[in-house]
Amino acid sequence: MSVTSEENTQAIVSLHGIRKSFRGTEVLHGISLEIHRGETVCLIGPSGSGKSTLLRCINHLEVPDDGLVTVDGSVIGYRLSGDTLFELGKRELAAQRASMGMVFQNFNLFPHLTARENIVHAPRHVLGLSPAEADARAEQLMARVGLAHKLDAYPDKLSGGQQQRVAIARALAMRPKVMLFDEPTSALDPEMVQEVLSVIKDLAREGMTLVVVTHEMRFAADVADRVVFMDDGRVVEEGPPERLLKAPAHDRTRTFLSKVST
Amino acid sequence: MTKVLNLDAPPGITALKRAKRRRPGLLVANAVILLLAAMAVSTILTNPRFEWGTVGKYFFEIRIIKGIGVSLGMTAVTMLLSLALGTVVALMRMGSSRLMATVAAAFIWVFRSIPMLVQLLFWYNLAALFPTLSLGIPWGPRFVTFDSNSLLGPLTAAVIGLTLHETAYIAELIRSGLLAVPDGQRQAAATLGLTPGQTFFRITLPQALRVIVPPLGNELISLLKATSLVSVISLADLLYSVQLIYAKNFQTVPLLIVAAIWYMIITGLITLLQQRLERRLSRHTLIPADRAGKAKGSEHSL
Ligand SMILES: Nc1ncnc2c1ncn2[C@@H]1O[C@H](COP(=O)(O)OP(=O)(O)OP(=O)(O)O)[C@@H](O)[C@H]1O
Ligand SMILES: [Mg+2]
Repeated sequence: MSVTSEENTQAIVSLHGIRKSFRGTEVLHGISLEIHRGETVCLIGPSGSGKSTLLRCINHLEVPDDGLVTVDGSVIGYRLSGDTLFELGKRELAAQRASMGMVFQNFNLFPHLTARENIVHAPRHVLGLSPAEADARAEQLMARVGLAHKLDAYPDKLSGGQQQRVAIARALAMRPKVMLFDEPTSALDPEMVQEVLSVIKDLAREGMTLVVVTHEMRFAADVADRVVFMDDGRVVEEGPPERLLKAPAHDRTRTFLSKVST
Repeated sequence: MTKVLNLDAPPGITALKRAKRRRPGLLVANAVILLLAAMAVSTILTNPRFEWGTVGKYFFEIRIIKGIGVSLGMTAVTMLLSLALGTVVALMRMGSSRLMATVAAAFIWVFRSIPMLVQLLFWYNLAALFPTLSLGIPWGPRFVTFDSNSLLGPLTAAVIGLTLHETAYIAELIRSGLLAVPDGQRQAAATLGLTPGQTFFRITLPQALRVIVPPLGNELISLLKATSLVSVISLADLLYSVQLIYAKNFQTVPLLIVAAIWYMIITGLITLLQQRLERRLSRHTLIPADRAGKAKGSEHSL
């Protein structure tokens, strides 16, 4: 897949010089990255290289110590006025986050709510949809992830793969501009990995903008428009999967790929 | 010797009978318990000094009923205030402000350490420390000034004392309940655009309640019993009403029995309520049992 149309060449997410430290140790050393509208970017790299932290910086689950994130033109976490960036209040930041969907390794469904309630909650209380509108969205999305028959099931009655698909539906119900996935299949039993990956594949095909942290190299080769290899808090190299996965330019990428290749 | 079981031979495995294992030890233990219970009941019923007639006569006496009203009222008001304040203190304690967390920790330490009785006497005698209380600008002009003695009657003193004590305990309960909810829940709520307030009331608190409710029921029962301490500041709760009556007619034991039975009845009702609530809350939650158990201390759920 290649980025062709005029609109598609616009960056929808851009990261400028993102730095982040935990307890005095810098784990992201000034990362810049652009993600284009409709593009699927896979973030790969060894454990501890900062993939999750970078992903969480996009929606400010982790607030970068330095650098800026813009999504569809607005600076995340700040309001630009003149030449000053004013830190946003929690409500304004919440409103910005609503435009980015995130799917976690451990699903993080709300256990006290049914699948339907999990999905309609934010559309109802954040977007202000009517119960009927929100319900219609839930039904449509659950059908889309192949779980129409599980609408009123509680998460503890669903398999891991089903929970993750509900989690994807829940994020999609907010009609996000970009979807962020942090190792969406790492907590799943092997036989459930494919059902989740195929849902993500469909999203990519339909033109949703996706950033996926993954250890599934075959999935990256299959779906990604671009693969970004990170190591030790830096982007080592990036490129289309055909090149990066088959003929990496850097030794570190080669070493990593030789360890994970199946 | 043991017969070899041939499953294919008629009459087949379904026709086999099962006999329960015999447990003679358990039978003996049960018999002993029943005997002891029967002895206790018969002593209580037949010893004339228990004066069951007097107990019956005073059981629905108007002063006693009013005393129950005072005890229940104080318990309810204190519980509601403590739940609200306890939530605030717990959130302060867990919040990002170091100052607030320290203040909350200090509050909890102070009001958990001072015995209830000492606090009640203290608030009742507050007038000795601050003869007048005023509303106004700190270090500035005062708008209204009250006489402490008239403002802090025994009832107010009691509710303040009970509430501060209870708030400290409940804040810790609520905090442990909130800590039992995995952080991923808050993160998921945040990514969906829920505000911190929405996240707290709709996501975190409902899940924390499952951990909080069982010990909260015990707190409520302790509080009900703790209200009997207010008899020291001559507030006519259930116990003090009973004391007033036996001070005149010297029927001490029967009247204490009246109070005891009423406390038992109310505690029984609270326990029933607590069990029903727990059963409702325990459905569909993924807080692992061991985490919940740890937060609850020695409590065990149904
Ligand atoms: N909340 C945190 N507090 C302290 N250190 C953290 C925190 N989150 C991440 N780190 C550290 O930051 C570094 C990068 O972590 P990160 O989770 O982003 O790596 P990752 O590439 O996602 O690894 P993995 O493949 O194991 O998920 C690690 O050294 C990790 O220990
Ligand atoms: Mg990670």
